[in-house]
Amino acid sequence: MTPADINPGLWLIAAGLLAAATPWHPVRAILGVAAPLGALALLFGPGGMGAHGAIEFLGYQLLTHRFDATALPFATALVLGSLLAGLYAVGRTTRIESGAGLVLAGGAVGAVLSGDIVSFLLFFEIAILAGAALVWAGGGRLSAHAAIRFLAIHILAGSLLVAGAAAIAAADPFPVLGPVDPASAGGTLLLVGLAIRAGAPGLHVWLRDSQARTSPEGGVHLGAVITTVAIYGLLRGFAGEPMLIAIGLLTALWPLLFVAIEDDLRRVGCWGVLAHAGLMMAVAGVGGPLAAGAVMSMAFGGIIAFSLFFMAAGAVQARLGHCRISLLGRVWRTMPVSAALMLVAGLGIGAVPLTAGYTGLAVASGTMAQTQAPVVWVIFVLAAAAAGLAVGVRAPLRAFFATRVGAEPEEAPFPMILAMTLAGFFVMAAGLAPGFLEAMLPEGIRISAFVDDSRGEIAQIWIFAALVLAAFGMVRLDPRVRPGVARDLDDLYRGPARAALRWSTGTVQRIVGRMLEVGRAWSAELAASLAQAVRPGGLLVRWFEAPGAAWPLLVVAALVVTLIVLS
Amino acid sequence: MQNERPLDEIPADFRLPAGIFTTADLTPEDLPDPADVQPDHPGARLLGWAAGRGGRIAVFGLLLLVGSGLVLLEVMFRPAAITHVSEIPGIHAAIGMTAALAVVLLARVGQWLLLRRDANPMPPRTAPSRALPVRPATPAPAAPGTLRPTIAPTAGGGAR
Repeated sequence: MTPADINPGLWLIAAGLLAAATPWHPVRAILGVAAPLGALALLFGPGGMGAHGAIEFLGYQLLTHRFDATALPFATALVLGSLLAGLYAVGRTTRIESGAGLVLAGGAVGAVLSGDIVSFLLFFEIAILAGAALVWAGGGRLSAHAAIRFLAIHILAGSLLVAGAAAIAAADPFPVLGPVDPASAGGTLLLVGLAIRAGAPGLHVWLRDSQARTSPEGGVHLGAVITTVAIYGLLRGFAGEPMLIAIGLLTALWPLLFVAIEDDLRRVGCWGVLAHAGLMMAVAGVGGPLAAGAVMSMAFGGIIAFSLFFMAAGAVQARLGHCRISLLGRVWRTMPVSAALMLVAGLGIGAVPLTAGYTGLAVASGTMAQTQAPVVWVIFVLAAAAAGLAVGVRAPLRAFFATRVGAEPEEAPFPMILAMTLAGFFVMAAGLAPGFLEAMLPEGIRISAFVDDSRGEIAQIWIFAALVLAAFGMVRLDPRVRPGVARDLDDLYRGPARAALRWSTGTVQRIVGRMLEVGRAWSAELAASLAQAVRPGGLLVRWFEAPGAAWPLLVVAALVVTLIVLS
Repeated sequence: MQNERPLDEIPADFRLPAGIFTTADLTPEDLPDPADVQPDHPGARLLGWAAGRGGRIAVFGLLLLVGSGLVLLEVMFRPAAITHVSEIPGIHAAIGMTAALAVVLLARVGQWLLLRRDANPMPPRTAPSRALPVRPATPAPAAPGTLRPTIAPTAGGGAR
C-alpha cells in the first residue's frame, strides 16, 4: 500500500480521534488546523488523479480512493471548510467538538473521494455519527434531544441507502459509485435516501433543528457539509434525472415560506443551506458536463460562503449566548469586522457579482436555460434570487445593522476574526478570479464565458430586488422580525401527531381495561353460578340425579374432546 | 453642550438624584448628540454612514441609476430574435422585483400563519461558563425633551 492509496478522509478521521482523546487544549487546537492542511497536501500530493486503494472486501471489489475532476472541487471545498472551522475554534474547543468536527470533515471528504457505493456509504455514516456528536456537544437537554432527532432521521435515510446499496451490490460485485437507474429498486432507495440527506421537503427539519442547538464552533463544522455530500452522491448517481429538477425546485422554494420570519440567525443560515441544496439538485437534474460544472461551482462557493455566514452568526452567539435577530441592536458599532464579513458572506450567498456564489449561479442559470422550459428557468432564478435576498441580505442587515436598542456584543476574538477574514478572502477570490475554480473542473467545462456574460443580468436581479426591498422598508411594509420560531412540518409529528398517538394509546388502554373488567365480572358470575349449581340440590346435581339427564352433558364433553384432538 | 461624555462611559447603574431635575429642566441641547457616540474606527464610521439616512438615500439613488442603465443597455442591444425567455430585455429586473415582493409578502403571511412562541428559547442553552463576556447595551438617544431612561444591563440579551 502506498500513501496515494490512503483516502485523505482517513487522515482527518484519525486526527479527529486523536483530538478527542487528548486532554490538552493546545494539541487539539493545533490538530484542528494541521490536520486539514495535511489533508490538502495529500489531496494535491504525489498520488495525483486516478483510482487508488483497490481492496477486496466480502467478495466485493472496493475502490477506497478515487480522485477525479468531479471529486476535486467538492473535496477541496470540504477540506478548506474544515481548515476554516479549525482556525475559528482555536480559542475555544472541547474534546468532543474538536474530534467530531475533524471526523465529520474526514467522513465527508472520504465519501467524496470514494470510488464505490459501499465505501461512500461507510464514510457518509461516519460523518453522520460525528454530526450527531457535534449537536449533542452543544450542551444541555435540548441539544441531546436534537441529536437524537438528528440521528433518527439519518438512521432512516441510512437504512434506505444501505438497502439500496445492497440491492445494487447483489447484482454487481464491483458496485461503482456511478450512474444508477432510478427505476430499479436499489436506485429508488438510494435516490430517496440521498434526497432526505440533501434536505428534500418533508424530512428536512433535521438541519434547522440540529444546527440551532450546536455550539458556535460546532455550527461552523456542521455548516453545509452533509447536504453537500448528499448532492455529490446525487450528481454521481442520478445526473440528468428529470425528477431531480422538480424535487430540487421544491426544495429551493420551500424555505422561502420560513426564512423571512425566522428569528434565529443560524436557522436563517440553515434555510439558506436547504435552498442552495435544492438549487444544486435542480441543476444536477439537467445533466451533462455543464450542469456538473455548475453544481461543482455552486458547491464550492456555497460551502465557503455558508461557513463564513455561520462563523459571523456564531461570533454573536459566542458573545451573547444567542443570535436572535429580534434581540440584537446596532451590532455593527461594536462588531464592525464581523458585520462587514457577514455582509461579504451575504453577498456570496446571494450570488452578487464578483463573489463566489455568483460564479455558480451564472453557470447554473445558463444550464437551466438549456432545458428549453421557460417556466423552469424562471422558477429557478426566482427561487435563487428570493433565497439569496432573504438569507444573504435581509437577515444580516436586520441582525447587524438594526436601528433599535438591543444587545451590542464585543467584537469576536482574534482567531475567529482571522478565520472569518480568510473565508471572506475565498468568497471574494472565487468571484473575482474564477479561473482557479475553472482549473479544478473537469476538462472541457468552461465557465468563464457564463461568468463574463451574466454579470449585467444578475446585477439587474440584485439591484432591483434591493430597490424594492428598500422601498418596502421605507414605507414600513416589510415587517420587523418578531421573536418566536416558525411552525414547520415537525410540528405535525412533535405536536398533533404526538398528541393523537397519546390519545389513541390512552383510548386503547381504556378499552382494554374495560374489556378486562367485564371479563372479570363475567368470570365471577360464572364461577358463582357454577358453585351454586354443584351444591347439594343445585341444577347440575339434580340433572345427574335424574335418570338419563347426564347424556347431553356427555355428548357436549365428547364434542369438546374431539375438537381439541382435531385442532 | 453641558454633557459631552459618551454614553458608553455613563455607568449602567447611574440614576438621576430624585428631585434635582425634572423633564422640564432639560433641553434637547443637554442630551448628547448621537454623532458623539459614533465609534472612532474609520470602518465603523463608514458602516455607520451607510446605515444612516444619508447613506441609505445615496445607496438607493446609486442602485436606481445603475439598474436603469443596465436595463437600458439591454433594451438597446437586445437580440434580433428572442429564442429563450432569458433573452427578454428587463426579465432579470422583473424577476428581482418579484423576488423582493415575494419575500416581503411571505414574511407578512408567514408571521400571521406560521410564527409561534418558542417554548425552548436559545439563550439559556449556552452554559454561563462558556459564554464570553457581554458588553452592556448602549441605550438609544432619547427623543428631544424627554429624559433618557437608565437601563440596567440584563444577563444574556442586554436591555431592550
